[in-house]
Amino acid sequence: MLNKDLLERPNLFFVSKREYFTLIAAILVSLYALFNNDRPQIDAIRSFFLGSYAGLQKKFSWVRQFADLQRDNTALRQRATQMMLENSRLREALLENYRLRQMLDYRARETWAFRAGRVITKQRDQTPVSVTIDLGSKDGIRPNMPVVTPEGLAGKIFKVFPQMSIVQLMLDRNFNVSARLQGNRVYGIVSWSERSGLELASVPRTSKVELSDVVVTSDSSALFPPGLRIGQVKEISEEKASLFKVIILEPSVDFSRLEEIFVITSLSPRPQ
Amino acid sequence: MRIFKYILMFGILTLLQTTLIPLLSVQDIYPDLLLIGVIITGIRHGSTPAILAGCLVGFVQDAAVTQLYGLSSLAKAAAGFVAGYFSREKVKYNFLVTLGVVAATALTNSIIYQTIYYFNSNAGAGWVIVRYILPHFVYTVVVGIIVNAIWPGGLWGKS
Repeated sequence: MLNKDLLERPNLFFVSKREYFTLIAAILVSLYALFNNDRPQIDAIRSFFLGSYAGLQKKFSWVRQFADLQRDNTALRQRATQMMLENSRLREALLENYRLRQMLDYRARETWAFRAGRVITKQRDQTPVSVTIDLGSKDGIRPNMPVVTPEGLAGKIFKVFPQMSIVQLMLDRNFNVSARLQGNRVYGIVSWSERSGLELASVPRTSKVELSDVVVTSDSSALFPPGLRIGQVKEISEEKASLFKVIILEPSVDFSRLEEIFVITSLSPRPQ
Repeated sequence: MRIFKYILMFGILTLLQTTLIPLLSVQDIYPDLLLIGVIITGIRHGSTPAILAGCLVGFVQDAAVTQLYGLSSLAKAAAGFVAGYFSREKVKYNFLVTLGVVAATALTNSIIYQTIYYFNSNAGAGWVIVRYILPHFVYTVVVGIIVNAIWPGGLWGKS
């Protein structure tokens, strides 16, 4: 009787089942967004929500910074000491380098243009793979520009909005970068694996790799300049059936403390 | 008027989620306060407002991620439906019921989000369950119970 009544009066049927219709509509809207991530309309929605989200987080970022202050202070003192020691070694190397350059009559070197930016939001709710920074298209930022910190490569620009950008960190499993070992020039691909962390893949079993070897970006990448530090070899293993080594890296950048970053805006060589 | 109250509530929860919650992380696992907001909406007002709130909050939360924009809104809309299914109009309050509603909602959200997120990765199903689904679920339930104790009127409010 009730069903017959509902069928005869579609409005009543719709009202009584409205939660199901709302759920279906919400699922359809979400699926549309999921399958159309790169559409301008979706970008516009994302930009609108990101503006309010980032604005809120920027205003109250002092809470997080205050909590991190003591830890940062200790770490910075330690780092300053390390830097002082490294600086004295580098001075020696610089003088030596200068002498050798003069001998080789070296004229040009690559210099890069940087833009310094601050991290506004960290995507830490479920998957810590991206951050939002306060540089956007108004600052000359474009997608795929490399993002670095003094410790090394952090990621690349993923999406650009007028006043902010989303940075895809190396912790994103879709992030790959061509790399090599600094010492013996063994080449491979660095990517993130959920199970083991940062991995250097495609390194032949015959290659000589040792623990603590430094891994840097290779000269065969179209996006990243060569020589940017990525990490250090932490673990090496070999699988029986594989032609390649399994190399796990310790990232150079501490992603949990990412506050200031630099975007490399120009890679073009410039005469010295 | 009520809608402004809920906008304010989600504003406060977003603020806490982005400032204080990161300090409570355990092995990169964070409780989801915005989901607790969706649960409160569902219990107090039923499925429809909870689905809409979940969908909108999900879009805000997803704004800063590099991939799968819309995944949080999908998971939270489904979670809102589950929370609203056990609204106070249909179920009588007691602590175990509250625990059950929070658990069912958190599990729905966690399963949908993590399953789709790791669908195409090299991580096995067992590992995703142990490393992400269960810890997120447990942490969110624990925080849900704490919020139930300290939030004015608890998750159920005054019926």
